[in-house]
Amino acid sequence: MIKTSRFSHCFLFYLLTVVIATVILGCNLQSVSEPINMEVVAQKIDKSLICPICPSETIDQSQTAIAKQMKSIVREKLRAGQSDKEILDFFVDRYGPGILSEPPKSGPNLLIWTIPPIGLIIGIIIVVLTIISMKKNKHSLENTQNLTDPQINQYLLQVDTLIKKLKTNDGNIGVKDEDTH
Amino acid sequence: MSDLGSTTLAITLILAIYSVIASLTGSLYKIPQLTKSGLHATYLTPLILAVSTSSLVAAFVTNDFSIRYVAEHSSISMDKQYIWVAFYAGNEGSLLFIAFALSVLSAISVFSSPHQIQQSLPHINSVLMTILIFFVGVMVILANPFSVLELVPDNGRGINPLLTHPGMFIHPPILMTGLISFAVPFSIALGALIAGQTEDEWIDSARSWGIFCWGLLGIGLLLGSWWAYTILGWGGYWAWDPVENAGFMPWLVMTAFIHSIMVQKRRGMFRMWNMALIIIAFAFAQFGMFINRGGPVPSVHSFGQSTLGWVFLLFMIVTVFVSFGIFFIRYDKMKSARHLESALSREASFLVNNLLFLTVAFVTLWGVIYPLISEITQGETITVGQPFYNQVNGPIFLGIILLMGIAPFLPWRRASWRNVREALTLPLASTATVVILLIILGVNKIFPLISFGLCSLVATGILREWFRGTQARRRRGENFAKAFITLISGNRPRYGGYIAHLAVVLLALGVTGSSFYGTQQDIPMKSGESVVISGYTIKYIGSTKLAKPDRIETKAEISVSKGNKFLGTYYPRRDFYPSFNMASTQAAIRSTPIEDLYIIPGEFLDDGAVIFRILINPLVIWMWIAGPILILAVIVTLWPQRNVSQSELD
Repeated sequence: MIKTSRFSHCFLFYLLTVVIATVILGCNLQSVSEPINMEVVAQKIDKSLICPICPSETIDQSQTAIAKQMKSIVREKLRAGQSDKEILDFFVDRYGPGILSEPPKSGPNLLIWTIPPIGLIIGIIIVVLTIISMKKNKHSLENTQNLTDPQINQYLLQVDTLIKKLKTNDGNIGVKDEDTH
Repeated sequence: MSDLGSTTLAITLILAIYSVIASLTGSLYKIPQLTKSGLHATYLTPLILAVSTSSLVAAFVTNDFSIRYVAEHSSISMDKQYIWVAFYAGNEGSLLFIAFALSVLSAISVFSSPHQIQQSLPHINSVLMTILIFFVGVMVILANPFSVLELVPDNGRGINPLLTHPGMFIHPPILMTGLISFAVPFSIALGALIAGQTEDEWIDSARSWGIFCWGLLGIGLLLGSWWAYTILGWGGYWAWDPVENAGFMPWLVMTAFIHSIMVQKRRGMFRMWNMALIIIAFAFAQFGMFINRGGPVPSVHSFGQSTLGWVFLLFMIVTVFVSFGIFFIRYDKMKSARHLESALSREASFLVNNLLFLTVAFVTLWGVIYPLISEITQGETITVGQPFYNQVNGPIFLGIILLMGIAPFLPWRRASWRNVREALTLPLASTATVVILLIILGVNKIFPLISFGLCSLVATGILREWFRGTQARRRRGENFAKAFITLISGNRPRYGGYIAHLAVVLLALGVTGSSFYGTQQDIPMKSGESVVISGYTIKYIGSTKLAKPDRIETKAEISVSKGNKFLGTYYPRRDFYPSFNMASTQAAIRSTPIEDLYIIPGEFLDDGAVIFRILINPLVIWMWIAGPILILAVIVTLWPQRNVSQSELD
């Protein structure tokens, strides 16, 4: 019983640490999420536009003159009351769809967005089928297992006895890895 | 110098060709002496390549600008310490570096190969040497680092200023070595496959090498992020740039491999799958080198580019075809020794792990090549940037962390719901606590809530295992520290894995915090002015200009305080390199466990004002702490395992 109480002691201590860490984290995260203003929206647009002369850098990252100019156009248009979409469309009209850091989710480019989930679903189906088929082969392989690996079986027996011994000594211990049935 | 270099390269080429022929013929006609002689040729290659390497270094030291490579990558005014960086700053030099690293790794792996794979050794050696032949051959024929200029310039062009950063001393070499080291586990697997040792003989040594490569590449990637964060001056650390992706994809596949290889080690299953995985991993590493060397995709990593890319692509295609050709010839010999007993088992969870890692790898590949597909099919240039990867890969990463919280506690063969419940009660309680508390405190974004909750699930699960294991040993009279160490050393693969998982949790914390709660502001300030941003008072004191031989340094002085407490003076810097028309920025970073205050001088205006970009990046420091922990994990896992003695069993 002493052991159990020591365990719950430590558990309480751990939980307290988690709580304190979470509270510190939560408070600080909250303090930085300030109300949305125009600059936040502008930065979001900056991050969606690629600098035309420096490959794979957004105008937010880039330090070139054209990026600066584009940034000021974004802010001008926001002040004039235009929406995000209107501003992005303006740049697409000028430079083509390659100016967007994110491919549009419409038209032929829908392909890039749909392939990954389709692939994942096919992958899941393959994994499920594999698990089913590997379980079906159970009987055909049962014999070879015993024939090829006598040492392993002997080892597993040894482990079983070891675990039994430990269990009788200390109650339940955390060895699950070798738990055989 | 150039003659010595070229000659030694040619000698290496001949040695490597001899090694392949001798070891294969020796093994085919059962002439052990010939095989041995082939292996000895392999041991010689690093020595001869060391001479080539030294002659290039000597050319740098003596400013021998008659050698084109030296003239293009150094100058008289260049600090001598940067010779190390200049050596691999360009295409030819980096090839020499890679070839040298490969020859060293080949010699070590052939020399230290365990007795189980002796039968395959001639074939393993041949695969390694064939890869070396490719690299040395490319240098000899297409990109000789020792080619000479007809007109010898008085001074060289100098080194790319972006490379003059401490991170550049280790990030590129580790990344290059990491990528090429994939050749070793690949060769062990393919060699064993050719020799017909298709059961489990090869896996112990391929696994050790796999973990080594995985750690090396992982650290290389992390150092690259750290370099981007401190010097590229945009406040981020990962941009899903094609070259970053090129290093990341093989790492992901290797992560899948070092997990699923455990199933083969323990249960003799997934034999074909593991073979296929290691071939895919090496193909991705080759793809990485292809993208790095003038691949067709624009990238910020413009150094080291050339038209050689296509040769590398061809090399990759040939490797994949030949490997899978041999794979299908040996198909029948790779059947699993055991069946799967339950879908709720460690084995099955490793399958799910593999699925998720491969999905991320292929999604990333898809994003890298999609612009090409779109250009060919629609004639339209499309950019696939960060938002795509974040939206598609982000949720899969959460799935991986969820799996990481559950799978390690599923036993092999078959788990009962009781097992699962018992192992997960405490972690789930901690997850619930974290999520509820965060909601109460006003955190309302769904992704961070899930992510922080899952991080707590994983960490609590691991700590619980450690604690219980240690307690069990303590009851036998060991003190806490000793009990903990004997616990870890009792099952290194498992507890090393846990340490790696903790490193991943720290990475996830850093990524989540900075991606969802980072803020950024561009603020113009004149000297003497100050601004308050999330509690910090940032005052711009003034700036000084300093002309150095190769650059003009503009250093701003900034004092930072919080409330009444003075936190320090910082000197963010902007350096301009006239000969390259290029600027680099050194950020001022004040790191705490909670957040980084990150200040970069964006632009010095004519009226004396400076536009400062000020960022608050929460939790980023944990990402850098993850690095050493990852190294520790690799060391613990690879440390030779003590055999369980009889006395311990009794």
